[in-house]
Amino acid sequence: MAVSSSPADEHKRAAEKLGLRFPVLSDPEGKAIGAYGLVHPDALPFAEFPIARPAVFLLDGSGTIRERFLTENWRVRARPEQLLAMLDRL
Amino acid sequence: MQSGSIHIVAPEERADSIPAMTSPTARPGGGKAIVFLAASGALIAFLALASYFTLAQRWPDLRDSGVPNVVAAALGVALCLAAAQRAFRARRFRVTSALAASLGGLVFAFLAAYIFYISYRLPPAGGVAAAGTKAPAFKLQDQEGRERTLEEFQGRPVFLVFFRGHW
Repeated sequence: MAVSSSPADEHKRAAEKLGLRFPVLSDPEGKAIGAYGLVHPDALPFAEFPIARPAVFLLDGSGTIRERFLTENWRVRARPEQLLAMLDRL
Repeated sequence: MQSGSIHIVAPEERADSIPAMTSPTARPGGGKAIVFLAASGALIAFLALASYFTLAQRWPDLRDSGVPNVVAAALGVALCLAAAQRAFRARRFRVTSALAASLGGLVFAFLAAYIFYISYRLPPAGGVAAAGTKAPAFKLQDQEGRERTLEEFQGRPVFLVFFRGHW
């Protein structure tokens, strides 16, 4: 599942454009973003919504976080191979 | 010029002959080279910036590094500086070349600052949900307007990807 603070209609357009078949969740108040400790305050001077620090969590069947991908630089994102490797280690 | 004759020098003639007399490298046609260098340099710097936020996003290595774009922008500035050097020697297109060099410099400075400094400004990671802990629950709307929760996926592994929004 993906989460960002953008509104649902924006996510719908993005999901259609990119062919995403998983839930893309909208968190305009930053509730989930805050719960996971990912709020990036002042990320954008004129942002209407709270911006999340990019991160990927791998949860197991019991809802426990098993692995986490966090970067020191917001331009760097998890790559498919890295995510698949995380899954293999589960 | 022969002594005893009056040679009226037209303005265009003077403008071309001064550089020829004062600088061994400037030629009357040197203006074209100056403008070409300045314009190319400014264009390259601008393209380096623009391409990072558009094309480069499709190639993870380029996106993660950003260094090739910064190098390209530096090259653009170098061309602008070469143009300015020629311009000031030939005393032609000085304002144009100075403007191009300044713009190129600004573009380079911004890109370099973004790649090497600004994009590292993240809050401390101490507060981020840690491995080994229970994933916080949530209830959020998906792209079809339906409310979704983590509980739906109980029993299956889930990747939760937080991103900064699709702009």
